Amino acid sequence: MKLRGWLLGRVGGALATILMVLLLNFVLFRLMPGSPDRTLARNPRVSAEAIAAARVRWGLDKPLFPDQLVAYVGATLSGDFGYSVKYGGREVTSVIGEKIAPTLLIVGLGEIIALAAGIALGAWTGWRRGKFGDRVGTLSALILYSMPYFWLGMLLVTLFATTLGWLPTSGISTPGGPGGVAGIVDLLRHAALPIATIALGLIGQYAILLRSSVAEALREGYVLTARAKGLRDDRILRGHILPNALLPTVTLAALNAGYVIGGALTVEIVFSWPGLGLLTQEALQSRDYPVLQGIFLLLSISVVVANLLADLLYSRLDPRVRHGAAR
Amino acid sequence: MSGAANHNDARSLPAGANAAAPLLEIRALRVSFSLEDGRRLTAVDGINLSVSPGEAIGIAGESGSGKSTAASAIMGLLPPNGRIDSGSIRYRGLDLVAEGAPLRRTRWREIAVVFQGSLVALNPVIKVRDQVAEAIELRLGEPANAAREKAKRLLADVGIPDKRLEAYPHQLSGGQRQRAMLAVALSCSPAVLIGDEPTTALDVIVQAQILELLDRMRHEYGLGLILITHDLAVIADMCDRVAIMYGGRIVESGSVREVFTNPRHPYTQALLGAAPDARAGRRTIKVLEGQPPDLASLPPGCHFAPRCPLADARCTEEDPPTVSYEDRVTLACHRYEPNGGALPAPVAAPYPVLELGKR
Ligand SMILES: Nc1ncnc2c1ncn2[C@@H]1O[C@H](COP(=O)(O)OP(=O)(O)O)[C@@H](O)[C@H]1O
Ligand code: SF4
Ligand SMILES: [Mg+2]
Repeated sequence: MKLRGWLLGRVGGALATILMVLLLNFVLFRLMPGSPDRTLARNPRVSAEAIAAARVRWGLDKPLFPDQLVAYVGATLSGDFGYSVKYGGREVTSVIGEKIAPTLLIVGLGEIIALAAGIALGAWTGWRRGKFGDRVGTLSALILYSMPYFWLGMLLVTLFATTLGWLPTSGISTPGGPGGVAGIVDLLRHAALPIATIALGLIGQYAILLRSSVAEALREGYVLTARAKGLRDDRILRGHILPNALLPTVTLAALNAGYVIGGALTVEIVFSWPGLGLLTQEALQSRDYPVLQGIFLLLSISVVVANLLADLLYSRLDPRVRHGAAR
Repeated sequence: MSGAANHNDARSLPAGANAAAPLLEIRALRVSFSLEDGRRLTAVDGINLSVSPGEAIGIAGESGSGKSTAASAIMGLLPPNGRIDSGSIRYRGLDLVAEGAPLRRTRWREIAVVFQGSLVALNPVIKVRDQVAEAIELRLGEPANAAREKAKRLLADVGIPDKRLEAYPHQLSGGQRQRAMLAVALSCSPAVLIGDEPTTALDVIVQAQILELLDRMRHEYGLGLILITHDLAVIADMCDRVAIMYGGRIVESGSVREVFTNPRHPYTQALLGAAPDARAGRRTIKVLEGQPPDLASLPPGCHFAPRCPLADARCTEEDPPTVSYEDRVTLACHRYEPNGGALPAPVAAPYPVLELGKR
């Protein structure tokens, strides 16, 4: 079972990467300027005793190495990410935990919509490469691709929220709004623009990649064989071209899934969407080390896991890789 | 295998076809490509060709002489910049060139093709068995299970072992892939099979096996076979008739026996003489000087004139007409007069001869 060995190797590699990230995380945050106790010290109403007490509570009175490092790694591995400096000493896991769902909602739906629309657009333009429809489609995809999220987001807000007034400009729900089904509708109305921003930003990427793979596949001998077989165009596209041409796009989508947290940062700021992105910004501003470390660790783990996923997916989908690994 | 041959007898013809008409008949076919610089390149310049059931026709000629273009035109698979300028391709009387021709219906069910590179001709992410079954299911309308069963039988028949049934193309050897491709081509029991250099990429032993298989299939299926190759030995082994192409034209055609023993056209002589001949212990080759013609800017007259030792003034002014002699040989060369249709004696073209050394 060589395949299992390969799999174990990949998983082992991923775990090693996460450990390295853990170390890096520790070092990086200690190198950063400013520290929470000094931030606290800037507040004239906080007494020196209180600061000293805080230093002890946060473990900042101990030496960096080995005490702080050992404490950090040990605690992290046991699932203890410490306490938030900003949020009145709440557990980091709970501070981060409650922000995951809102982020997953907009990035997840945005990804899915972008993937579906990007595949449709890429397959369509690739099949018609060089024709008018392809030019228009590819140009649109390029424009979307090159637009930064915040710019796209502000455009959408200006158009659909400020000017047309169809959708709310920001937030996740109407303050004091309804519950139940009406509450879900309210949530979705708030989520619509952030989701659209993420989807539009990603569509171009998927469409352009798929278009080039489809156009490339069209020159392949197996497409000529499929034509010679007298198959219909849609069968040739879906049955022969896409199974080949989708491989890079699917891999990219899996990789992108790793950037769920990081990618939403600007979007969440534009829409004041209370997810991990906004939390990151707040934590950065208040030098909330424990929360930042938690977020960075989560981010790194999701990137590593997404890479692993992309690898596995690719090897599942492409028999050449599958057997190459098993041989 | 039984059943294959009767399948062909029972085959139903596409609408508009006539069982009494010749199987495949190509008349005065001209195919050209538009080039990036705006010029047109005539790749096939008025060829005639016909195939009967069970008959094997070889098409030979240097690379670039228009063999593959002719095959693509028959399949209706010219690239977007190619077009059929004139002429006809008839399958059982059904015109495949005419506007609205039922090409998608005749493809594979009537005429199938095996290309040169089987690795690229097969889809890398689909199991070979499914690639064989696909056309059975989609073109013959058989249920998926029956199609897979038939695919299994076909693959066994072309010599793919049972345990390779679920293999992907890259898991097969070059020879096995070409066998699999043959099974794909035969999946709808076509009446005509075109092999465009089907063994070129293979080593000699595998090549011989594939050709033997092709020959067996031709007899079992009663296939009309068009075998395109630049290997004259293959044609000598496999074919009943041969057409020699040069610069998009068929310069000489006839029975393999006649053309190979009495080559008349100067180009045929060069082609046959270019293979070392061990006769009488001497190994010599005829040296054909110069380059194949640039089909995008052809001067008037015989395309072969710049390289022909027999060329005279007329050759560079007038196209030599294609003359048929005793229904056995056609020739396009000014050196041979119509002669009232009587087969003329060969005129040896004085090519420089290269000694390859004595045995
Ligand atoms: N798609 C194309 N566009 C332009 N010229 C082409 C194209 N395909 C083939 N040709 C030209 O047509 C001529 C005949 O090519 P081909 O039919 O492939 O010859 P063969 O199969 O005998 O080697 C060559 O001069 C080749 O360059
Ligand atoms: S027509 Fe003239 S140039 Fe052409 S092959 Fe005959 S003799 Fe040679
Ligand atoms: Mg060719």
